[in-house]
Parts: sequence; structure tokens; C-alpha cells
Amino acid sequence: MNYKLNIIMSAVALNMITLPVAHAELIRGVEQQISHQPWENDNMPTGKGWAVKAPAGQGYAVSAGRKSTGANGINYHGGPVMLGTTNVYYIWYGNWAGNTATSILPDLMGGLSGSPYYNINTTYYNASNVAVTNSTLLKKSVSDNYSRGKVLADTDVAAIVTGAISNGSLPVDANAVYFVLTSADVTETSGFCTSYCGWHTHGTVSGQDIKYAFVGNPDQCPSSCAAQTTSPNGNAGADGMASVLAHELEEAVTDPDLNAWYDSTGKENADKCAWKFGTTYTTSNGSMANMKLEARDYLIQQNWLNASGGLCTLSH
Amino acid sequence: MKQLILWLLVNVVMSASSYAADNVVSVTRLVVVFSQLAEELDVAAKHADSRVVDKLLAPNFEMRIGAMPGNPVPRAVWLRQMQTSPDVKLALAQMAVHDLGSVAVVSYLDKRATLKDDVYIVDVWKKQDLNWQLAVRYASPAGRADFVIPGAVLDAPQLDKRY
Repeated sequence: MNYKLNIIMSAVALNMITLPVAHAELIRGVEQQISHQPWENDNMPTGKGWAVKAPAGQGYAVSAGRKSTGANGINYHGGPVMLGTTNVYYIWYGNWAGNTATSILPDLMGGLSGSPYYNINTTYYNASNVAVTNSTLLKKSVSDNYSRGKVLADTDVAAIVTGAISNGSLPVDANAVYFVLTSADVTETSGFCTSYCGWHTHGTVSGQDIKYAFVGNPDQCPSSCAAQTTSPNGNAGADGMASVLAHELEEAVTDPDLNAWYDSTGKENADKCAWKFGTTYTTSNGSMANMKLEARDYLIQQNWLNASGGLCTLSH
Repeated sequence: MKQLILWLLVNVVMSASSYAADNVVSVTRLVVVFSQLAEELDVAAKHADSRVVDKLLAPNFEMRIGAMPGNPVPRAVWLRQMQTSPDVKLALAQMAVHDLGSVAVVSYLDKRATLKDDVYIVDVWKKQDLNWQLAVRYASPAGRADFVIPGAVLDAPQLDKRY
């Protein structure tokens, strides 16, 4: 019995060792740059999986009518973007009972699809000149009752997504973004509330490239991750999450594998407009909002338009 | 037999799930705020802009560095030294802000081009009325991963994520 147990433990240990080696991460989003810099100059894609330098004095144009690289302050690095309708799955992690976030954030996704705001993403395209579609759909939401406890590491977030897929709660969907939404009593130890409010990445699950993201509840740290304490939908945490969720979604769509659209400092589209809200208006409860999506008001950060020289905007 | 099945299941799940190791994140509002303050102070100090310096730098500011923690660098000396390289732009990375009410503890790497190696900085900002002032700066070489620091786990798995 002990012998078998040893074999099992050794195999598990071996698996742990052969997991991808961690790399030191540099946060490349702390400098605030909102306009194109003349020194921005990236490689051009060959369509063969590698990139080459553009000829002197030229950027690359993927087709007639497109701006060359750098002209809009954000550059294409050859990787895929998410095409067609982007599916979204919510994993409500922790205790969300009685929290209006469970209606505010699903409504957000419905409102984003087809909106002038989400249309900004259609200015991003892949190496074949196929652009992102102004369409997203919340396919399914599931709950996770603290399967990994209340203190999460990044690898726990990955495991939550993997778990929801492997136990059949959610399908394997490579054209989707899986959001792990944590309740206010859950911490993420890699820097939630101190360095970031959310993040996205990707990984292989059951042979598919799965895109997933973490968004925590700003009720835990309003000064860091919520824009205001009185919010349009009467739930400062959920309304704060709405902006972060939009941020991560538009980045996941335009840079799903972290090798498509970002600028010379490493900022993805939404990073370039983080915490910039543009023109706002006052809602009936006195809070600020900047867009109405279907029946709800939201205060959502601007996104970077990959056209007209590049700018932070709320619509396209 | 049950254990063998368990092992196979673990093996299949672990093999099927591999994650990239380097991530993108959306920075907090305070990271944006203190990045801008640090940059503003850096520029003002290097160009002897006393109006901005007096606004952002506490009168009793000092810097303590790891090589001589018992001998703080006084405010005036720090300012004088900053002015010796006025054209070098501050390059911040990996900032974290701990908001403690009227005090904020801000850590980051200084990666400015003229430095031989990255410098790990911890700034303590104090709120004066509605403004933040830098009260103390602690700085040390960022060091190497194989330099053992009690309590640190340097080989913990990290995802390649974007904020």
C-alpha cells in the first residue's frame, strides 16, 4: 500500500516539476501614455509565426486602408485576436448570495454586445485582416462555493477554471473568456488591490487554448479598485467590477494569447486608458456614469481606438 | 486499484492543463496615482523645481539605502544628487500600493536606463490635507533570485498574466 502511495506521490511530484517554469513578471502598465510616441517601432508579422523588421521608414500595413504599425499608438505582434461572437462564462466564486452583482454584471454583458463602446474593438484585426466583431454573449454562469478556499493564488484561479470545465459545469470553448469573479471575502495573493484589480491570461485545457480572467470585488479595497462609493446601480463593488470586467474583456479579445495588440511599453488597448472615463453625467442617485447600456447606467473606463491616430474614447 | 485510478486522473488533468507563465493586469487606481506622483517628483527634483518639490516632498524627507541603513541621506543631499542626472527618465515597474488611510506604502522597481541594475524602492507617502507627500524612501539593489531572504519563496508558480 505504501509502495503504491509512493508511486502516486512521485508521479504527482513529477507532474508539478514539469509544469511550465515560472518567469518573473514585469508589470508593463504603470506608465501613463495616451498618445503615440515617435520612438514606437515594432516588428512586422510575416504570417509564418515570426516577425521581421519593417523596412526603414515604413511600418506594415495588413491591407489597403489600414494604418501602418505605430500610427495609432498600438502595435500588432502577429498573434490571433478573438473573432466572431466572443462567448463569456462567469464563475461566481465565493458567497454572492443576495448580491445584486449577479444581475448587474450579466446585464453588462448583454449591453456591451453591439454597443458603440464595444465597437471600439472592431478596429483591431488579425494577420489576415479579419477584425474583431462587435458581439459578445454571456453563455452561462456557474457558482463555485470556495472550492479553493478564501485565499487564492494565480494557480488557484487557473484551477477554478479547469475545475469548472473538467467537472462538466462549463464547456470547453476556445472562443470564450472565462471570468472568475470573487466575492469580497476572497483575496488573490499575487497583488489584487495593491497592484491590480483584474487580469487575463490563457492556458491549455483539454487541448484547447482557454482564455480566462480574474476580477475581484472592489468592496475589499474601494480606494484602489472602485471609482466611486455611490455607484449607478447602487452596488459600488459590482459597478467597480463592471469597468474592470470590460477592461479585461476588451484586452482578452484583442490580445488573447498575449502576442497580438499592445504598445511598445507592453500596454494593451484598455491599459492605455485605465481609470480614464471621459465625459460623465450624474445619475438619479447622484453617482457618475458615462454610458447607458440597455436599462442600466455604468461608469466604465474608456478604451483605445486603433484608428484616427489612436485615442481613448467611449464609442466608435 | 482505486489509487491507480486516482493517479491516472491526476496525471490526465495535470497534463491537459498547462498555463503560460507571464501575465497582463489592470492596474489599480492608486498605482496610477502614485506612478504619476513619483514621476512628477522625480522630474521636479532633477530640475530643482522647488514649488513642486515642496508640494510633494516632506520637509523632513530622508532616504535610507540597504548598503548603509544607519546613515540616512538627508533631503538636501538627495535633491542635490538627483540634479546630477536631469535627463534620465524614471522607469517604474511592478508597483504595489498599500493604502493605510493617511499613509500609503508604495513599492516598485526603478529601471531607469542609466542604472546598472534595477533598484527596489519602497516609498512611504503621507497625506497632508488633500495632498500626498513623500516622507521616506527605502532603496536597495533589486538583487538576485538566489539571494536567500527569510520568508521569501522565489520559485512559487507565476502565471503570465496581463492586468
